[in-house]
Amino acid sequence: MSSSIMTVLKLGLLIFLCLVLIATTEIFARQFIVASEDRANQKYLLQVLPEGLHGDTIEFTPLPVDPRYWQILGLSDGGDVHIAHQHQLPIGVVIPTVTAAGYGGNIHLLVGIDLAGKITGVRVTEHRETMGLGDAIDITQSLWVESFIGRSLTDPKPSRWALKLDGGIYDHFTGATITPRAVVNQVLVTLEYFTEQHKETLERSHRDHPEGTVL
Amino acid sequence: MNSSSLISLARNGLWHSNPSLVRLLGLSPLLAITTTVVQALGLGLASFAVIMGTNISIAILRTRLTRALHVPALLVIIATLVTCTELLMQAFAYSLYHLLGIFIPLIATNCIVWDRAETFANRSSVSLAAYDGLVTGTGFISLLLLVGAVREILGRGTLFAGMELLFGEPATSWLCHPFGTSFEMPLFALPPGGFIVIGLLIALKNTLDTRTLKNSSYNPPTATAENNLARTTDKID
Repeated sequence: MSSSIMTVLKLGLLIFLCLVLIATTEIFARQFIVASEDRANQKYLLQVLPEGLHGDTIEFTPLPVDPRYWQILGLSDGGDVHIAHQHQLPIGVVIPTVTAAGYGGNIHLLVGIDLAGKITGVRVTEHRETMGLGDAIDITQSLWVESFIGRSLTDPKPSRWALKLDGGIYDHFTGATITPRAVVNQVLVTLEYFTEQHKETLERSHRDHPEGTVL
Repeated sequence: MNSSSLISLARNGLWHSNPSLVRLLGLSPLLAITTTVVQALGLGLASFAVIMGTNISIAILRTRLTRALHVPALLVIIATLVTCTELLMQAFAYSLYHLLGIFIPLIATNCIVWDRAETFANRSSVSLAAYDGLVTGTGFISLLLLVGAVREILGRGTLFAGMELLFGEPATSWLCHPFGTSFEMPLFALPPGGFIVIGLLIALKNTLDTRTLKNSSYNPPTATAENNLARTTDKID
């Protein structure tokens, strides 16, 4: 009897020590994790803006997405569109969007669009696509997402916003068509959302206040 | 322990009983993660840390653990070490942590970790257990790196892609294309390619062994009913 109580006590002590170790590590690592997350987010925001703009001159203003658009953008809990300003002038937006049509669940995207409605960059920030196949949507694996740069709702026309094997203009990957198809469709949806929701406001604020404005 | 048994421990961990090549332990990460060198190295280092930590903890606690406590204690210790490793990777290798995804928590189920703790560390001194962790961990990392390099070169036509995730910006320039930029054989980036590469490496090892052991006095351990040493890929007496 007493030996089994000892066993329980020993195990309890071990578990307690382990919890202390985890808690210490967590407290120590927390600040670095938060810093890494911020850096990663900031890096992605800058990456989807045009090349050459990068630097400390860009400021991002978060703007909550209108709940009416949560569904088409795939944002179940909402999210922020980031308006990019340079010298107080809006130069573009970064829109977060999620597609559930991937092969391995949700694919999280950031789409950068300039005032003319042209795509300045796309990044996949989170995905669970098959390693070696669908993960080519990730910039660390291939440059495929760069093929969106400069595209808009009129170039190509919406019917050609598809993979080449669906009659469109975008490449698919060897062994993976579901993943790139999901991304192409979601980028198109995001462009349509931008045109409906942000294009006019942004152009107006740029035109009306050439000396500088905050949206 | 004398130096010749230390050397034989190293020989076994690195070559004759290599956890991946001979005993085929930890195959899941070996097949799943080794499509590039950086992924192989990242997971290898994380596994290495867990193997070392588990071996040392078990060796410290070995006199205080009764039979009944053994498995639950091991569970708690390994889970703790994996959680801490995960937190530290998230803090200091954020992008790599996201690239490796589920395979970091899965280190907790890696048979190599369990094997070393169960069969060696629980009856060894702390320093010896640490030495064994070092040797076994190195054996595992070497194989991960080797398979990673072969599969990255053949499957994607690159070598050292994405090393900046682990070594910072300067490592971007390490990227090279050994067979030109248009070369790739996607089969090797897929799981079947992993099996093929590992199979070829095992064949190569066995060929080398047959050649060298003929003229050598060294007797590698072989599986017998008594020593209960699981060996999958070589001759079983």
